[in-house]
Amino acid sequence: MSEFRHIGKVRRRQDGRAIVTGKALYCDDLPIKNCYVAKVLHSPYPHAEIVSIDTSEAEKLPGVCGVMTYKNAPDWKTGVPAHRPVMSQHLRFVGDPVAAVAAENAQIAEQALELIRVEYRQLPPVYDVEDAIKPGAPEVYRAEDNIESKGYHYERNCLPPGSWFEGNDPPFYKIQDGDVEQGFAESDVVVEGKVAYTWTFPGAPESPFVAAGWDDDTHVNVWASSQGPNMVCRPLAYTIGAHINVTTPNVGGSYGNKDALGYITMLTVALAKVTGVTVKYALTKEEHLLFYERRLDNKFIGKIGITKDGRIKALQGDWLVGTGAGSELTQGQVAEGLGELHIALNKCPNWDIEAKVVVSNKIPVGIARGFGGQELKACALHLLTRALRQIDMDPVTFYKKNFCQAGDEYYWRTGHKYSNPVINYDKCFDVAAEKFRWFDRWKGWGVPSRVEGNKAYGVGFSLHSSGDPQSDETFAYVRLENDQVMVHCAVSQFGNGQRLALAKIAAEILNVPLENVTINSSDTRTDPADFGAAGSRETITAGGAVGSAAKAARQKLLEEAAEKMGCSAEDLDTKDLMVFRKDDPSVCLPWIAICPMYYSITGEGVVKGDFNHNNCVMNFVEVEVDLETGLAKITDALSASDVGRIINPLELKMQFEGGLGSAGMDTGHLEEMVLDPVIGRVMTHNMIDYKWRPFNELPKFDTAVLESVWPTANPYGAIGIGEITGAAGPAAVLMAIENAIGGAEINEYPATPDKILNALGKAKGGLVE
Amino acid sequence: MEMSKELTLHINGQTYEFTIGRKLGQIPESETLLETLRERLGLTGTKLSCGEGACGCCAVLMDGKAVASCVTLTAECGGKEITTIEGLADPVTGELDPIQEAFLEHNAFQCGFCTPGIIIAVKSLLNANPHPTEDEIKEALSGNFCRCISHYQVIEAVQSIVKGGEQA
Repeated sequence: MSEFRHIGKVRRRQDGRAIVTGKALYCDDLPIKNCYVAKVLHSPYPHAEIVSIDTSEAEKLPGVCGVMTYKNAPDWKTGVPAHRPVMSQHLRFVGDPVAAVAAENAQIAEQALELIRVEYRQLPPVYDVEDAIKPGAPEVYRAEDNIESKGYHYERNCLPPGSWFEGNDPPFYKIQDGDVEQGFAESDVVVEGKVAYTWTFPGAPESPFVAAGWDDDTHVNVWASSQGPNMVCRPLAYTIGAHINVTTPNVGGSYGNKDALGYITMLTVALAKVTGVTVKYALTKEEHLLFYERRLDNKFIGKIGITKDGRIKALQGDWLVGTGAGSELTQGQVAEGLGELHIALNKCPNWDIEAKVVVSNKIPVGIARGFGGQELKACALHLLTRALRQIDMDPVTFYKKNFCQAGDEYYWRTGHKYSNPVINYDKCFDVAAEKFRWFDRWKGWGVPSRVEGNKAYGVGFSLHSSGDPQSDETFAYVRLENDQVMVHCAVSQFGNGQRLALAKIAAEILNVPLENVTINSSDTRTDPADFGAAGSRETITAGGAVGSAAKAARQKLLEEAAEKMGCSAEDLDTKDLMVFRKDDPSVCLPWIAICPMYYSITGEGVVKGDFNHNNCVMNFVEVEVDLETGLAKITDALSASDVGRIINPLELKMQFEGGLGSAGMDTGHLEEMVLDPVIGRVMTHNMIDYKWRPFNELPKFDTAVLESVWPTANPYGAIGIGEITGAAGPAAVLMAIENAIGGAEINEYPATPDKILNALGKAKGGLVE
Repeated sequence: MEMSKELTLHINGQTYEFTIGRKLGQIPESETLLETLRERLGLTGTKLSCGEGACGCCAVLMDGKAVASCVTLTAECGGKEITTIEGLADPVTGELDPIQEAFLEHNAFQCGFCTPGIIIAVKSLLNANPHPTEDEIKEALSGNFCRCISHYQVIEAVQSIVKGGEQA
């Protein structure tokens, strides 16, 4: 779009040179003075009680500053609702912290861990969501843990529904609309079944890191590898009754998973309090895989009715959500997952779906992109394919009929309905399907697109839409000083190019070169409040807040210039650090004459947020299945959206490509955590055994990006899509695999070779039940 | 009494004299090259990720070839020429290595955490094979994990150097 100077143009990221020369500082690179090192002793058992613990030898070791166990840890709890203590005598998964040591260096801390003597009493574990809710199942929490929210109590391994997402309103954990029995009666086809989505690791190359030190009894300094510094400090500050300052330098990948860092921040802040020193806890990669928060797993057991012409009439089901030994915000994921299903199947009039958040002796669940909807839809929409097969309608045609359009109402995370009056994705279906050659490649349900020897190819489609892109509050301010523009907005650098987008917006509005704009390092000491990078929201919210702040600063600049120039601000404009009369540009004044050496002009901006702007990403995939070995690969992928105005073209393309990784699209057939059911330990606790996509396994990847100007709070009409680019992926991949293999059914993710060969009747495998 | 052994390291054109031993300030036999670089020399551009040689984040050049510094013992690096990401640019002019320049030009990174290791792996590849095919590039980088999926831009960046005919 040529009308802009920076918006929509390819620009080098301002931090790029530091990244390619190794000078960019990530958390563990920071010189934090007088900082002790934390190491944690983890439970070797999935479910146990500490009978006795003796830390005296560890405490005597020279260089050890202190040891924390359940006996001396502060009485704080994190999670939704508060349930996960700093340390507990009751250990709930392999990896649950038993003790934490602060020492002068890592070697001494590790030596100290070996000197701690613990006697455990093992308890029977439970792992599966269906097993955990059966009568007589081992209890992961107990009545005396007093887990309560909004009048609901923990009961038989189910956490209370609801989260702070609903405010004081009732919990949003079910959709009951219309009359499903009548809907099924009006349907031509009714299908029933169960689909399971496995547990996966959305983690980043940089393992989570937190350092903490107390200034005094009421002030804590925290350094955190977080994509959302305010998410780190604000809920925890409320819990512990102290003010927390958070610094977030460069973050080595996050994907939603290093947002709140809730438990490990609480643990580190507690250890700093107990020992009285500044302490850093840099998780090893094994700890990252073994005990850090993972993506939720779930099962959908349901029933769906549709008519011959592809109108969905009724959806009923139990959504069993596995949250492992803890929930950072799983109930929030339930609320958004329900909303995302409701947007996708928006034309369905009759709903009866209810979620249960089930605890078990697996690793606790944290935050990950896709946030509930990816996991629910991977299951519910896969069940739906059984019905589409019977009416012989392809999924693109079906979803175009049933997806939420402008003006339709959809549920979002508060449990209330919202509506987006303008944004429509109808055209996106058509453009993307044509670019992918969908209707050429689609040969019908259970029919491969082509077969070449042992290789069969199939195509699949799914889509995702979230109500979050304009959610919640973001504040910003912009300072003009001399010839410089300083932007304050708590947006971390974690790879998405958002800081470049903010620099462009400020530079565009103030009409200055990009080089004159500095984005302040993300720090809650100097940046105003912000909900954080989540739900693709910062394109609109941070973009809008910074845009308003830049406009306000510009207005003040012109007003102060007008006084000096003896005219009115309306007569003036600014470009390249000069203010000039519109009717006679030769009458001008440089910025440095308006804001000289020790002078600031400050503008403030805010976006308060709503849920009336839903984004959308469509995933088209082709897979190749080796019919002899059962190995499935994605060979061709196309992701599509209408993103409003494009701000960063290259970064946008890379956000789409990023949907493959971080436990997104690749959870359809590749990524999976594997549990040893005998010892209850994750076997995939290193980067060889947990499979990631490497450089020599890349599919062809294309995008179809439509550009409109949507009426969002972004000053240029953009809408963010980063969170959801892979969320519909697994459902599309599994659909494509079933088509490639001739329609044999697979009801469990991921479709690894053993499951594919099983479905083909070529092998019997897996662990005996 | 334990004997001290001298160790001379050549890193980014500088010479560092150490002794191996267990006393304060000495390098223990068990210290990894990654620890020496990051904790003693402040060269934090080399990153720790998996800690077992699987992911490529800690790659440095040893005599021109990429090695995983997290599973390399410093005590065994005597006499080797080590180059880290900080040592690729011209030390006098500050001019970037063509690989670094291409990564900037093609925006071949997102979070940037795996980027130093990938750049080192590309340097190692081009040292051995100045004109790799696309498949050879992908194969050579298969030991470098990137979670953001910047792979496509990385391949484009590397191809731009090869096509440009510049000797990296």
